[in-house]
Amino acid sequence: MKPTIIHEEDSRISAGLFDRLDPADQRLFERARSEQPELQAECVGLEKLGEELRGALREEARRAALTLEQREAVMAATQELVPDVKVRERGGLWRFLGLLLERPTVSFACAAALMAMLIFALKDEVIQPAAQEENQPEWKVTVEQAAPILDEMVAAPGDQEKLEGREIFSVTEAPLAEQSAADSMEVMNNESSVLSMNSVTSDFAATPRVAELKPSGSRVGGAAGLGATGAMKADVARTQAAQSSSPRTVAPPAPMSTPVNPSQSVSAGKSKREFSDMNFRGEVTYGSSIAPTSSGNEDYVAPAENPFRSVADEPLSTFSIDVDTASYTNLRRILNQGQRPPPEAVRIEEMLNYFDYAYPSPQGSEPFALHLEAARCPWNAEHQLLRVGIQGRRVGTEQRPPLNLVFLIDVSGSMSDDNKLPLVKKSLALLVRELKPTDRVALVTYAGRSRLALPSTSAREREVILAALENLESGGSTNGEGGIRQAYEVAREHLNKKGINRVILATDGDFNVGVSDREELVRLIQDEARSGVFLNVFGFGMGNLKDATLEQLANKGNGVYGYIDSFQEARKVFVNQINSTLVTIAKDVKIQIEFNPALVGAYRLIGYENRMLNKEDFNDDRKDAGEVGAGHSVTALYELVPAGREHGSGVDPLKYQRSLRTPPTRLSEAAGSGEWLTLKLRYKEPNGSRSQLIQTALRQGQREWRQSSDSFRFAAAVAGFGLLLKESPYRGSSSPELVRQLAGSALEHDPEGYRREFLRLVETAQNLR
Amino acid sequence: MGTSEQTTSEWLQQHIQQHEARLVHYAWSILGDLEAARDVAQDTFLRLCRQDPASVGDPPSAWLYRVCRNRALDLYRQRKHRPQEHESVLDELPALEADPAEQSGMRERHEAVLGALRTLNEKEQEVVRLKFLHDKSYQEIADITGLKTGNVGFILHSSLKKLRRKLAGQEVAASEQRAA
Repeated sequence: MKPTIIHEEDSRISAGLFDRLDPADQRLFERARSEQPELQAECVGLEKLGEELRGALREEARRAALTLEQREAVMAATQELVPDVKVRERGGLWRFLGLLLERPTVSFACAAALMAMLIFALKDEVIQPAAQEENQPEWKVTVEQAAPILDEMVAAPGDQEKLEGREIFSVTEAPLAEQSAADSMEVMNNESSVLSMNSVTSDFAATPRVAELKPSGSRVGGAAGLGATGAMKADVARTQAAQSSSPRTVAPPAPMSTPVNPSQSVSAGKSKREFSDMNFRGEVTYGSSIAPTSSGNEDYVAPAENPFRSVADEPLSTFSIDVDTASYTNLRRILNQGQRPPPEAVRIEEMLNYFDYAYPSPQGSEPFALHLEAARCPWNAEHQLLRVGIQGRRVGTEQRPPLNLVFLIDVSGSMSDDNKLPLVKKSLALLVRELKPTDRVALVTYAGRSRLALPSTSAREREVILAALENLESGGSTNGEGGIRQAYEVAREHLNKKGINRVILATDGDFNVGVSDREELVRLIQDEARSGVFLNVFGFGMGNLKDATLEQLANKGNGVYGYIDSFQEARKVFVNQINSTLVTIAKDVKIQIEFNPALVGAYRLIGYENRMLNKEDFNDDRKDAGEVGAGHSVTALYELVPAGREHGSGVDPLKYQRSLRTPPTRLSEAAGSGEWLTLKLRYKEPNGSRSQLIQTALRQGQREWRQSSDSFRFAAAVAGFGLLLKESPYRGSSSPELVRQLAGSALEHDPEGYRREFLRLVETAQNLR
Repeated sequence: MGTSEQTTSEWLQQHIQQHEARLVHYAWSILGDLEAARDVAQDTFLRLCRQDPASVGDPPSAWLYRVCRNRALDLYRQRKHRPQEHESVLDELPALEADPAEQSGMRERHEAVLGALRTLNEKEQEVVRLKFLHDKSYQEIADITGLKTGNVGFILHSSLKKLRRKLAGQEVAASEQRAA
């Protein structure tokens, strides 16, 4: 154990008490707190101070209020609604013009910026003089209402300097400007006018003081124009930088009428802070919630989306498979609560893999069957959509090896909600009823400390197991680590070398108390997985879910991470798919696709961002990858750009090279075969250490998506929905209507009703907009 | 936007009522002048009414705080100077209702805490207020103020340390006085 001394000046103390730490820091903090009495005393003091500050400030705020007249004016304004965004924007410009005329002292820069705005406005013919009559009365009213303050606020340019030396930190106009920029860019709805406006106004935007000089009363109009200029300049610059530093990526096609920063998708190593900035920008652009990343106390971490990659530069796409489905059930829960899920909670591969696409089973001895299908991409008619389907061997209950299961159940106080411990009990009872007489079950619970609630018991004594489950009660704090150690011990005592040995963790994700670093925990789980005890993790409930932590734990433990939001979901996982859940047919399953540059110019893997591997990893048997359970299928979608069209969407033609594409002389004979690509899959037997290879190629004519198979269209619907929820810059012309059309045409194979449920969920999401 | 039955007017009214006291107070903490703070808050709400709800977000808190802050700072800059000492809102404002703090004798302690708070610089005060009055997360504070999230954490922690030292010093002084 490393010494964990947190110094009292360490700002992580306050963050731990009053905000959120990342899970590793949180654990360090909790451990330091339990080991350092002086830190504990410090925390108590700080918490007391926090309470006092809350009380005093609330008391102070309780008396701050508008005057009666002010409140009446505001309430009257809530009734005067503005019908349409675009109309209001025009009103903003005219208001700005009006103020300019009223106040000739406003500087030249403003006038110049106004001219620039007029140029673009007239060019686009969006702003018509008729709008003036429509809107003038409205602004007159509001200016009068705000009169006392506007008088004071009209800019006196010289005042800026007087601020210097004050401790007020820099004024952040940026969010407001960006927001207005988004609005005004909506007004001009084609890309060419964006570019031309940028070139017209760049001279003015280069004057740093321009943005400061606007009369504040005109911000809605004036700042919109200036902000748009600045924001676009920044975007263009960033895009150029991104493209020059990373020539392998092709910028995403900007969807019509919505400005998207193409560089969003390019950077692989963005920090979380940068990510939330982008996200913030995206959310404002599409007009939904502003709050960027937090959703209650739930943690989500999202890597940047995969960009388009040029086949000439990177013909190989390599990733580890993922059969998790937690993201979909979690999204379903959030949507059904009437909320929009945070974009970071959307993992498209987990949405895709929630559904059954009825792929044919493998023939012969191989554990996998590979299925490839392509058709025109529903959200981008220029592109093709490729579906990679991998079907694992199905195993019936009779062939299932004996099970040695240890349920590790979180019974801490936070688990008392109906959708937590009570649902865990019901879910595991379902599972127990599916067991064969040769199977065994033990029960370890943890709260403040861990407890063996039921020693390993044969499934013949089902009633004993069910009674022990029924007796579980919640209460106390959480010590996840102690529980995990004990669960592994029990599993090892009854290790069945020919059977399946599993720890099944059921928790709301709160590993807060007492766990030493995450690394140590991960190492423990990995060691146990190597010795044959795998870990399955099931998240229950909400509000406290540490999504990323749970997924990581399950991955390291060679197990599956699932999220159980309802009894219905428990039935799916523990009854209908119990063999997929518990029987691993292969481990370290990796996929590599080689694209043929004669037919495919660029490609983008949709989802699987945290599963990407280097091309060398594919043949490296030491490299850990995903596991597949019996009957599991894995689905991945690629958006393909046909050869020769990959550089239309953002990369300039090169000055010194004829073409970025591979010259024909470098192509092999196979390139002329008419094959689009070759799919290769490597796997190991569950206890094996050498990998096996299976491969197949796709040769197919062009096909409209309407001609594709039902299950292809359904997969496209799921991905399209994911792109919308993620607010992805790659969503093209995806829309709820398109998603419904795709899914609605693919309902024939729906034995369990999951596809129909998906369709309802799309409608739910649509009603939230 | 809210529940489907709610009209935009109702939605606006709900959020204005919810944020009224806090925004006035927030602007006041920047401007040190209640009347101006009220004007800023009123202006912010009027802007909210004029804004397309889709560009504001639901709930509109983040937008309201940002606009309010920018308005208050604009106004602050227009003024040549600002009163060096904040008057206490507790003295300046009539109580809206019966004063529970008075009854429980906590007002003295509140005054001490607020007094100590006012000795911090503006940046520190703002971060502390956003955290403990407005219940904002570090990320939200960063979004409102333009500071980096890590910096918010640092400022908050050092502010709390300073406050504790100040308040501890006062307690010692008070007990010495009593002893004398």
